[in-house]
Amino acid sequence: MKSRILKVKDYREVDVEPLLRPFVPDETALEAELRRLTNPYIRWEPGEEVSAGDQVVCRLLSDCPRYNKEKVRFVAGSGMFQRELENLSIGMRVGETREAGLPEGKVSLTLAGVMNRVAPEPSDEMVEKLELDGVHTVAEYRAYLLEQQREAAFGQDSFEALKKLTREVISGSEFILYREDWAEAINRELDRCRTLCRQEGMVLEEMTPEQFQGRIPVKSYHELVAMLQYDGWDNLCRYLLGRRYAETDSFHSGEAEYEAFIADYAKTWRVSEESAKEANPFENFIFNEYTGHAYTVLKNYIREFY
Amino acid sequence: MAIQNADKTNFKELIREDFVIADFYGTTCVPCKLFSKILEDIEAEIPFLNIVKLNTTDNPELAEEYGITAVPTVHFYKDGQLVASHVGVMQPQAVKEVIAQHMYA
Repeated sequence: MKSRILKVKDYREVDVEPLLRPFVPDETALEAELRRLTNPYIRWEPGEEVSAGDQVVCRLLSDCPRYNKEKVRFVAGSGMFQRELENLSIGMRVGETREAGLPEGKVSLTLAGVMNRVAPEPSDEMVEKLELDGVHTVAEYRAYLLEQQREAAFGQDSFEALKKLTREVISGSEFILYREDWAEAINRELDRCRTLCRQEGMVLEEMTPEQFQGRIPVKSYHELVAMLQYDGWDNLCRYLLGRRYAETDSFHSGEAEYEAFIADYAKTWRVSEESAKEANPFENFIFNEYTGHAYTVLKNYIREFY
Repeated sequence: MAIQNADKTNFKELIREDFVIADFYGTTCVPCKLFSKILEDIEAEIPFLNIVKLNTTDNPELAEEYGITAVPTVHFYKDGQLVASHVGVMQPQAVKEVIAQHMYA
């Protein structure tokens, strides 16, 4: 490749804080996840009175066949059987009878038995059984869940910031870009798409909008070419940036990484290694690796401010 | 009734009787993990539900036999007959609505 970088804009000069939304924990989701910890420890104990969430066994009498049954089991308040009858059962004691007027007719419900739901509070012992590295207490588990939330939020919130930072770094750097390198990168990607489509029994140039749907975010071959050409210059810049960053941060990708990628690709997509290699030529892999490395470096910088 | 992991040797037997929720999932599928949590919550709430999970990555022939083209896919069986299905993650309330519609029918 003849293209090269003359001067790299230092990404650390870019103030990314204004580009990021502050992280706001989702307390409801956090509490739900903590409650989930207790799921395997829920006990069901024979009881006398029904509360919401308890298992109810009852006898129903009605002119409507659906509600005329000797033995019916449901969970009170779950909405799984019939909302009105479930609510009617709450507060009933074993042996008690109540009546409800449903659109289908009058229904008499006699409580035959109840199993009370006993959900323990989350405990350190429950956390220990998860066998998470460095996570032993409920407080540590809460912090762990919070960190997972932060990571997921960062994945979403960093997208726009990363786009803007990349744009600033590229526009502030100086490159010498050769049209032949640009064309080669585009043609390699087109070849890759062509191969993938052929492996699915299609001809890339003849694909319909329906065939593109879910595979490539375009409606026609010409739109695909236009998209690749439009992105081509930036991708070339990102590749060169990735190469430049790798000179100082010890990132490397080569034959060994390619072989590992191919083995993983073949396993994931259940294809032969030959097909995997045909769809992912080495040159493409390396180009994508270093382009991806530029993204990683910039994303890690953004992470420092999140 | 705990959630049961099925394979080609017992799947048909496990869906043969009563009302059964069959969750077809993939090993590396992230939405499948989310749906798995939803099913675990439902099982903790309604312990006498029959829930069967089938890993389509490990059992591709069975997945093909049951017409699974994407994961997660959930099938609802009543006495071995498919009564409802859904492709993609189903929210808890939607699952309960199917239960309400078919479990006591």
